[in-house]
Amino acid sequence: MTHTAALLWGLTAGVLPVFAFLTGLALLDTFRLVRFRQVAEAVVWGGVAAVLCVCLSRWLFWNPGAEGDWYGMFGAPWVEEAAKAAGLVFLIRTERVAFMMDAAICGFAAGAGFALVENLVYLELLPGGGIPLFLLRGVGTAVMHGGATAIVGVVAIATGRSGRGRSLAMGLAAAIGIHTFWDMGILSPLQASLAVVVGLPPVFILIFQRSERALQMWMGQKLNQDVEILEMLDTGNFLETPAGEYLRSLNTFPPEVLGDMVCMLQISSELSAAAKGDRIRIWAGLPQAPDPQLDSKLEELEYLKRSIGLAGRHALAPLMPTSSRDRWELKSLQDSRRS
Amino acid sequence: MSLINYKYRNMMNIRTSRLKNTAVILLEGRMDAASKDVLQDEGDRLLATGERRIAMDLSRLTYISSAGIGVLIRLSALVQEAGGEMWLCGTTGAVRTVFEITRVTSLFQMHATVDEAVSAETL
Repeated sequence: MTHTAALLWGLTAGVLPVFAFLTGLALLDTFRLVRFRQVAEAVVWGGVAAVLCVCLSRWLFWNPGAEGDWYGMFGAPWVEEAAKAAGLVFLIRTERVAFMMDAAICGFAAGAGFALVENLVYLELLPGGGIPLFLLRGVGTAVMHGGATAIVGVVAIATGRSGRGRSLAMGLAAAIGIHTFWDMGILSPLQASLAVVVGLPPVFILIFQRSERALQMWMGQKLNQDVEILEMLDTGNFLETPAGEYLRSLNTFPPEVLGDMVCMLQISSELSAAAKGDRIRIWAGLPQAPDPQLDSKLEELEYLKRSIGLAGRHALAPLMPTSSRDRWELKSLQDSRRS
Repeated sequence: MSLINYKYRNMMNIRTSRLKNTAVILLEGRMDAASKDVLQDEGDRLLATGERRIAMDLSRLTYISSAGIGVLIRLSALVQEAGGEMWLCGTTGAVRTVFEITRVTSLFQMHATVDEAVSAETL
């Protein structure tokens, strides 16, 4: 086998399993919470994180003697997990990821990107490593990288949802723990790889089932609220309802701002209900029904935000509670419009 | 009633027709910040052609924000300046709510239907 062919086979063995696993996760995403572009961006981020980590470790610590081993066992898990998670933290903090399912997919994708670059580095360092070595790295280490970063996202969403420091720290601690255990070599590479291959799929299936239930519950509750608001507005007697009385009590705002608050309620509820309808269609395997009014509604929403101002939006909050999931939904609509 | 003009922009249709001696502008859909100008243009066009009695049929309008109300107020003022009259007819649902909460109903002559407006104002 030529040197190039060996490299290609090594690379294939080193990355194919992790990308096959990632494809499997994406197929389990029945609500299509994650777009292909988002997965690709997470993979790229993971690769960038790996390059940064390799540079850092070579610059600071790379020493094939005892100190190098200590870094590999106890330093690298902290640096690498933090670097991989940084991209995921960005997605959670900017409300592009809001459920355990999408956090797991994007986290795994970042880990897969990281493993891709790391295996390239190993190919450079160990060109004669052979296919079995890289197959073990592909099935074991690469999937561990993906799984550990996925766990950061899952724990962060499950415990905090908004990506605040404490919940992220918990997720990161879990990932560092797994990575450290892996690097300590308590299990042989074959045993560790088998543990990953056998243990990780059921864990992900459980996470996805729980996430799907949470998503369905949230969609059901919010859809009821949206429909209730739209029905109240449709009767023309909205101002006689408790919600309308509350709006009228906000008489410190100019009347035209109060009018735009009603419009904001209407447009937000319409957008929210339509987005949930789309999500249900995807889940049911039906084609999406593009809303021809989506562009103009999103533009109008921006106009209303400017008109109402920050104080007005705060005043409207009791009638229109917006969680990170609501903001995620709006971001998804805006992203779908751009794409 | 005879159709004399039709315009469409950003989810809003405007059909202008004539009923007796009144120009009737039927607004259909959503009048938002992006589509308000089409009404502005149509109002200006009607005034320029000498129309002085304008009925706005809002019965098929499903959305209006302060941008749209601003255009209606401006048009109403222009019609009055020209010695004419403008009526708003058939506000329903969310549109009615927006008119009420913005407290602009007193600025307009409101009627339940275009027929009612035209017959009441021609008596």
